[in-house]
Amino acid sequence: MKKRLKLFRTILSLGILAVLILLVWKFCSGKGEAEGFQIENTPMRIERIRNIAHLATISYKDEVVIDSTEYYQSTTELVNDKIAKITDPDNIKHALDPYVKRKLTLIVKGEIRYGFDLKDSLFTIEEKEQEIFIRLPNPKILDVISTPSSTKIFLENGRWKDHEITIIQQQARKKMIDHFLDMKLENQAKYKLEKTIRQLIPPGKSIRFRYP
Amino acid sequence: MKLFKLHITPLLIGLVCVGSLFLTSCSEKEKDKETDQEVEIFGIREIGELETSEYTISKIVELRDPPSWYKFGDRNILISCKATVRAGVDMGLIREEDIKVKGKTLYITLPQPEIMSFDMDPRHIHTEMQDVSGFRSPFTQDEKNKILKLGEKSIRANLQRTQMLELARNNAGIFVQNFYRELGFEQVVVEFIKTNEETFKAL
Repeated sequence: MKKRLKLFRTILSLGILAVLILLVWKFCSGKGEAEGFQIENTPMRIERIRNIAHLATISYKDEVVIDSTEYYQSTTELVNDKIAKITDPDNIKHALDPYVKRKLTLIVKGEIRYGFDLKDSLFTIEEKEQEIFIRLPNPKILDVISTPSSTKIFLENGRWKDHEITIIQQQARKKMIDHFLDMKLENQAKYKLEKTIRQLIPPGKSIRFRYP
Repeated sequence: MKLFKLHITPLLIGLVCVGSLFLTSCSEKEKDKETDQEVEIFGIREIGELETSEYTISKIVELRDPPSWYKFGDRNILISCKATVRAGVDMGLIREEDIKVKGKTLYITLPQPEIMSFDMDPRHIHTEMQDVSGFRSPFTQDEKNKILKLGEKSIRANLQRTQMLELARNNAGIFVQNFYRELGFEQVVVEFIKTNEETFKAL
């Protein structure tokens, strides 16, 4: 009877050991819950097709960090939230912070494309004898580009709703636009456009550009 | 004492092994990070890209996260998203010898169209449905972003199957023809640099 009990205990301790090794291996191999995701093969739908004529002359790439923090307003709120965090495996590591209720930090990489909309009615070409007059609209931001693969969630403390993260991502895009506008690149965009158009026109004719 | 020898000692040895395994694998990760020295360079770049076609593509990203030996219960999520993709030709690649004039006829060779921009506006991303069983945690925003990355990858991979580049090519041709007609040319012949595939077919 004693021998059987010993055997049972040995098997049990070896079993616990095996489970521990497997759990540590799973943790250290970096394959968390999110790593092994595989999406279903769903169709993609073309919603709209548009013919455009945008001549982008400046591309600006930027990386911005955007942060949103929410603090506890009362002790009751703190206690309730701490209990919730202790029982939530994703947030247990944030349970010790006595001040911060929720915090989200994003690193967003993006691109701003700046140039001219040549479908604009202001774009006209006129030829008079040996001179070409080209009237162009003012340059503008044609596109602000950011994608999920260029967005990194650096820190997520607490549960965040979709519309909240959308607002933060919009703030990141706005920050990129502000950085870009601070550089005042209107003249550089015009210069590059003129250079591109001059390359297209056979030599021998003088070109004059006009802007509104 | 016997009990200690029989059960506690192997357990301790095992824990030491597990600990060293943990430290080794984690230090390897650190090493990887240190040796990764390639960095992106951000800033302003002068370009001359004519975007001529724009596609708005929507997709429902569906993920089923089934149970496994270390997670009990399943989680399912449906996220809808939209991508705006623009294609066109890089006018900066046109060289002097690509434009030839014979009387009132102009011959121009344009570069092949390509995808110029790919954007997924966060305003068009919505979680349509999520179903999480009692033993699992709800999807975090980080996990949702990882799922969306897979959706983005899938859209990018299937772009070639749309007629987008063909449309961009036609529109670029029309734009260039109109441009030169305004300059007084009666006939404008637009050609595109042949791709390796086209050159092979011609042979």
